[in-house]
Amino acid sequence: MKSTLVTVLFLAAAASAVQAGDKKDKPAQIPADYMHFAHSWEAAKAEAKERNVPIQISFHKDG
Amino acid sequence: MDVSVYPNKDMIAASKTCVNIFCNDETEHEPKKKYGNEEWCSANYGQVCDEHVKNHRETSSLFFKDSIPNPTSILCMPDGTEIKRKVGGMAGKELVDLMKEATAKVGPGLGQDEYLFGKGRLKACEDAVKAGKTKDAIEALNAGNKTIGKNPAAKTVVDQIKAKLEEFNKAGMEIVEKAKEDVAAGKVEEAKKTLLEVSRNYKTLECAKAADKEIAALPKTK
Repeated sequence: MKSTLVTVLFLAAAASAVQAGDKKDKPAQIPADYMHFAHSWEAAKAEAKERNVPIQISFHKDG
Repeated sequence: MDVSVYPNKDMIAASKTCVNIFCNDETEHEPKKKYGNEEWCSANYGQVCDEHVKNHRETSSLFFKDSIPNPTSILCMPDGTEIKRKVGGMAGKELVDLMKEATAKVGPGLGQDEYLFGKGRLKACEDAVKAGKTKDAIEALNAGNKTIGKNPAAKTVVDQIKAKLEEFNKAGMEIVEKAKEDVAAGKVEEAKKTLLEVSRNYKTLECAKAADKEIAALPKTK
């Protein structure tokens, strides 16, 4: 009985450690109050016209 | 601009005065491979690789004849006409100033939060209609109108909200007219039920007042 309990506790701790590891390796999700990007050029123009605001285009490479 | 520039609070505030589009033709982002490309894009840009690659394909030929110097930031009028560009990396403040300059040139515009709120109410209305919940649909539109209705820069979105409300009003008026015909044909109870539904579901619209007026004028039934 005691050994079963120990095994269960060990497995629970291991699962928790794996989950924590997963979180650490993943990027933080984009916060709601963050910079938003249009999903296409046409969508960007349509929204800009509706809002009467400029379009900011960013060309970027990671390397 | 590099992703590290974006989380700055002044940058976020300035970005809400523009529509931002990210163009990158790469599909391999994270050299150390701590997490997948799609997760990286989703976390940093709220989109997937296919989208920023497509953005790059759609816009690069519009703004560059030959090779594309990276990074390059371009500010445009709402129709896509270029206002100004800056080649090379820059501090966040420089990009914020560029955005302010472009915003002043375009004129008074609607902030992103108000825009998303108004559009969100229109979407909520659409969803409620699909679910057959007329009352909720009208309430969603009224909430949008109440919040951004007095903002002159929100006119385009507010006009969409008002047009939808008018559609509901017209539909409600038609139901009231049908109920009046039922009353004339002696179907008073049936008409009363219909008019009560209009009064309850189309609250705040003229058709609800018309329904209330007809209810008050209904002949007494045994």
